[in-house]
Amino acid sequence: MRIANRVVSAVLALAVVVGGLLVAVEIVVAGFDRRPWVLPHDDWYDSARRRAWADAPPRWIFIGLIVAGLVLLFLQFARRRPGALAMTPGPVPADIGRRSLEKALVREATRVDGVAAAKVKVREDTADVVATSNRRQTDDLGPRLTDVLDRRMGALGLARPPAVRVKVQGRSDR
Amino acid sequence: MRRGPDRLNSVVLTLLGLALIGAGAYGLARGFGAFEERRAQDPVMSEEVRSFVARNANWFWPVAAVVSLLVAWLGLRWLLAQFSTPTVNRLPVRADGPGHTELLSSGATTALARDIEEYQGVRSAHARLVGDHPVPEVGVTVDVHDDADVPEVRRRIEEHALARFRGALELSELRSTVHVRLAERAGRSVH
Repeated sequence: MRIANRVVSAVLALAVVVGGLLVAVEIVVAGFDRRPWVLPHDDWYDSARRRAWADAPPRWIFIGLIVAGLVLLFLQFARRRPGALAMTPGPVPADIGRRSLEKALVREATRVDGVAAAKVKVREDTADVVATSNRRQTDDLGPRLTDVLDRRMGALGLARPPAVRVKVQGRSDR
Repeated sequence: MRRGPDRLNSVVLTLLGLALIGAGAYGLARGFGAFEERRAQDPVMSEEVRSFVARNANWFWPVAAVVSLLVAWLGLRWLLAQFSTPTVNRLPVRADGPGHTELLSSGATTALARDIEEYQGVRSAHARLVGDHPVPEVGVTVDVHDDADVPEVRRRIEEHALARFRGALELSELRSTVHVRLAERAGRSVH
């Protein structure tokens, strides 16, 4: 999401630069009684004089503004996974990269006997683990995996270690 | 820990989003007669606005041009902020005599990273100085092996490496952050 913000910001900033310069140039050009250079502002002016607030074209523009505003707010407030998880408070603020933590938990999970593969998604409060096993009987695997990953998570010194939630898919599940 | 222009982007985009929603909502509400049915039939560019601009054309358009240039300049600052990395390249060193001595910050940060790489469980490290002198900020990124004692590595960085770094640069104050990445031991692979 931070990347999306950067891209949107760069595009909007560029639009603001170009738009600001164009408006200034158009004002100067109009001052010399010349026709518009790039922006057809005389057409826009005529249209704004003729059309009422209740007409369809202005309404569509207003709807567009609201949609664009909502998209921008969604980008800011959508619940996103953290890029890093804070460690316990200390003299120097420290955190652990979320992606590296996910990969470390995958490695830890696949070291457990009976786990063939694993996928991990870490959020602020939870770490969801989906482990795949080649066994038919996987009843004991879930608690064992939870125990191993809980211990691993607890040893990292995180301020709020996410709760580990394990789901095991056995051969019979696939 | 938010880095670079992320906080600025967040604030600007939030304000812009609210402004767009406000403008759109006002336009729609007025068009649907929320402020009297008569006003919904007014032209978008009203007679009052046109006559105001016409009466004050001698100062209105110059001011509008200056405001447009100001907006363009702010946009340029915002655009450049997306690509700038406020890395400190040189640090002034305190000297008792005449003259002026500067230290290349890359030398200092490389030494700091080498210090950290000697700790048990650390695979690699790098450091970067950002911000303004006299209170720069050093950001340390350290890759540690899966079996490393992460809190212990952090403690050693805080109490040993960063303390030495601060002493070597004769900085009374040094803001620091540590970013840890968990890394696979060389030679292992994920199944």
